[in-house]
Amino acid sequence: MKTKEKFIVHDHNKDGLDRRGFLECMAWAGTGMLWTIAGGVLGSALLPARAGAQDSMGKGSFSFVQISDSHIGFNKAGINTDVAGTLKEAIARINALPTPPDFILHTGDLTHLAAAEEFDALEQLLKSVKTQQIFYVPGEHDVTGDNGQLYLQRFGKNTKGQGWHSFDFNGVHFVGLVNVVDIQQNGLGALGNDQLAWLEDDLQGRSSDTPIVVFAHIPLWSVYPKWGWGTDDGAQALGFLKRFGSVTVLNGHIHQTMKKVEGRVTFHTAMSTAFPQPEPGQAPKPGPMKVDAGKLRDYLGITDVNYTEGKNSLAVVDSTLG
Amino acid sequence: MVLVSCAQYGTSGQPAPSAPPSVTRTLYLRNCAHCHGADGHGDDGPDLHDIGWTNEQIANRIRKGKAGQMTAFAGKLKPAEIDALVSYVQSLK
Repeated sequence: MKTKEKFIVHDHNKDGLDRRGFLECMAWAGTGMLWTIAGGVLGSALLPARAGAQDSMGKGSFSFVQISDSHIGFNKAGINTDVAGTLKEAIARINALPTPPDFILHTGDLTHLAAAEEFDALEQLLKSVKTQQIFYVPGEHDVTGDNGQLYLQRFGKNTKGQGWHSFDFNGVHFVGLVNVVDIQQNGLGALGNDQLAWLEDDLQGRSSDTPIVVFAHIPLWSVYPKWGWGTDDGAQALGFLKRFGSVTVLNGHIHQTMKKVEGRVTFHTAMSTAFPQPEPGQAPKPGPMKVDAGKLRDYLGITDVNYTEGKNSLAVVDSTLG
Repeated sequence: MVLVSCAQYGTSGQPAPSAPPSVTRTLYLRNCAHCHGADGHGDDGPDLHDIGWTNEQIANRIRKGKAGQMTAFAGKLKPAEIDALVSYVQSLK
């Protein structure tokens, strides 16, 4: 690391974490680092150790993959003119995993323009993923113009409200939240009272030792409010989760990996499969970031998550397409 | 869900001076802000301040979109809603 980049540039969360330094570490992670989260303590090992981790996975353990921001329909010269192609590469990465993931989480912005043909194209592309099931939450690009009706028709079956839902898998409780429909005056996402009431009810009665995974498009924590990278009422949702011993929050939207640990909650954002965005505050505004054509795949990727029963932990691995 | 009544805006193609600002603002936030920014100064999409387009040019762009970059809102938004957004964009100085 360059010494001049070690100082804290932004400390929005008042936690003393250096965002730039952290991003550098995460970029390093993206090249093949395994992060292990146990009891809120972050550990790491080189990616090849993952094979061993897979071998040691016992009955009740499982894995899933998070993909995000596929933006099917996006086409901008100099950024990415073949987002279907880069999604296919991401799918190939998933299909090459030593153990097929039990399911996939897509954390939104399936499409760029919320057009029927884009939703159809995404659905067709994802049929080639070797997995049992795919769960979705919408991004703001999926709900444009119709408040998400087209999205709900195709991907919102058995969900509630604007597409929120929950399910259990091998003792882990998963909650998919929607924070992209009611964008607030300050540009932040929002969950809304109806969804918060549902979430409180959904969690009620669950044992506090149940591992929880929450996934939503816009980060639930305040990554960079100036760019709308946060959820206005996210703190209320996190309040309902405080009593649980292991909470993992997976988001997309910002097209880059970031991780933050706060108590027993680990926040993680995923790369896009379509295009990168600038680091917070490092450009006049957010949006598709131009990179050298040969390096685009270094900024795109998938997130592989492994759960080992009895360890109350999730191992999160980011890997780029590059 | 907030839907905007056509009656609030008059007929298509005409200015919509009677649209309540809060309703138009909500319409903008739900459909435009993720690309043009909550403040209209641009995000994925361009800054909308002082763009120097006519009402019809703006309405056309909203209706037809831009391939690969902007949603075509014809058939998604009501004509009166498009009128309201045209007025909103023209108000950004």
